[in-house]
Amino acid sequence: MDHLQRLRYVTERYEQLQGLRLVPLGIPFLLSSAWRSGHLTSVPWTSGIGPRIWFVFLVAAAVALSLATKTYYERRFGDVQSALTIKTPLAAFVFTALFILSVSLPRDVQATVSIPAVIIALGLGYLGMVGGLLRHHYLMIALCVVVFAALGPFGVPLHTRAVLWDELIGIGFVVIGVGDHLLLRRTLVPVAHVNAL
Amino acid sequence: MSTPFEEMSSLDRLPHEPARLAILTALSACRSCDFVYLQSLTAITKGNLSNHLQKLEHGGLVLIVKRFRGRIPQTVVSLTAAGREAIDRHWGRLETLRVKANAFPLAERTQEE
Repeated sequence: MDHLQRLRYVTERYEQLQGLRLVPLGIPFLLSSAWRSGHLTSVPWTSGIGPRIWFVFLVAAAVALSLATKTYYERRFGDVQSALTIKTPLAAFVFTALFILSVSLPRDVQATVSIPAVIIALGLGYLGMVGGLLRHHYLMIALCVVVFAALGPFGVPLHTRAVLWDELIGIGFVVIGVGDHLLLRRTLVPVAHVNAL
Repeated sequence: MSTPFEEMSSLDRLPHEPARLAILTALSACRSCDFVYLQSLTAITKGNLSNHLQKLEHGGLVLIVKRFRGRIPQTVVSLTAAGREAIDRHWGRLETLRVKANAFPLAERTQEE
């Protein structure tokens, strides 16, 4: 019965679980973190508006790669038309509204707990908890985001926090992407393997 | 009154066979999916999967549509209204049987044996 519940969970969230589509999005953030720490000074156009252009270009390339990876999943595991439910868009709407509200709150950025980071941690925690902890890797990232949110009161400088934030987003995309892919891989058998039996 | 174990033998075999139960359970969680997805889900050969799908189609539980996606042929499977009702009812029965089997007194179980 547990296996069938897992099949149900994976089928319901098949598109979300195509984790390798998320991994390329982590690269621009990891490079941004390296740039902020001063490790990329030998790379051309890393001053003035250069870094912004680099970042936009890398995000666009990551999105293009992500779209191409969808074809890989369709060929390897097939295609699913998700059921139309109100639950997912409603949860996304509530999360976005809370995040926008938290960003607009007046606060002392230097010394207080980061409320937007707490909201992100809650969102990740929620995703990690639903479905019988099948996506426990979300909880690991949520915990890291909570630790990051609490850095302000400990007097960690803003620049260091900016470096850590980019690093956390980059690592988050990679960990969540690989974790989701492994969940899919543990549940579904690539068709090429089945046909080779 | 029949025991839960006797009731188990009266379960409808069309949705209860393991591969077909996996197919129907997956289909109940989406609008439709293609043949490739069902094959990767059940890990059974094309021939076996075709047989199971045929049985489900004859039983009126699934709808099979063959179409082209660009130049690639695609077989899309979805649950019919009867299929959705059947799998919900079947899961309900399995759940009831599980509860009954857990509550079945040990003494009676030993006597049965």
